Amino acid sequence: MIAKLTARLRGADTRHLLMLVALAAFVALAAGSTPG
Amino acid sequence: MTTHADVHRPQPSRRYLVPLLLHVALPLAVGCAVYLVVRPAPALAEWTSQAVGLDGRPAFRVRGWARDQLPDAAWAYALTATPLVLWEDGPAAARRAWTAIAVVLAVGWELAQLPHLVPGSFSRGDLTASAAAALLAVGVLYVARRRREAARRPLHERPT
Repeated sequence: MIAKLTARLRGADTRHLLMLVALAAFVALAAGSTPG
Repeated sequence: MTTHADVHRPQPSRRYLVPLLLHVALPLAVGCAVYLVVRPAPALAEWTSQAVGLDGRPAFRVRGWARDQLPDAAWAYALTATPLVLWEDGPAAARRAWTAIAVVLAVGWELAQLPHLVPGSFSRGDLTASAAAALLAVGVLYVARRRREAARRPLHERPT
C-alpha cells in the first residue's frame, strides 16, 4: 500500500502541492492583515 | 506540427514567471503597500512601517475604496489568478477545480467574517470588491489563455 502511494505521489503533478502551499500562504496573509 | 510559436515558446520557468509577477506578485504588492502607507493597523504592517521609518503612522491620508476595499480586491485577484497561471497549460479539470477552490476561498473568507469564523469584520463593500476582483482575474486570464492558444495554432488554422 505504501509503495503504491509512493508511486502515485511520484507521478503526481507538483503543481498540486504548489497550490496547497499557495493557498496556505494566502490564508496566512489574510489572517495576518486583520487589524488588532 | 511544430509552429513558430512552439519553437519560440519560453521554458516553463520563464513561462510562469512573468504572469506570476504580473497577476499575483503585483496585486499583492499593491495590497501590502496600502496597508503599509495608508492603514498600518495590522501588527505586521505596523512593525514594517516602524522598521522603514514611517513610525507606524499613515504616510498618506486616503479615504474610500482605495483604503478599505483595494487590499481585499488585490488579495482576491492574486488568489484567483494563482491557479489560472499555474495550470495555464495543464489539464482543464485541474485548472477548473483549483480555480473554483480559489474563488470560493476569496469570497468565502469575507463571508466567514460574518459569523466570526475567521478574523476581521464583515463588510458588503469588501464582499463585492472581492467577488468582482475574482471574476476580473478569471476574465483577464481566460482572454490571455485564448490569445496564447490562438498564437500557437499553425497559420493555416487561424481565423482570417
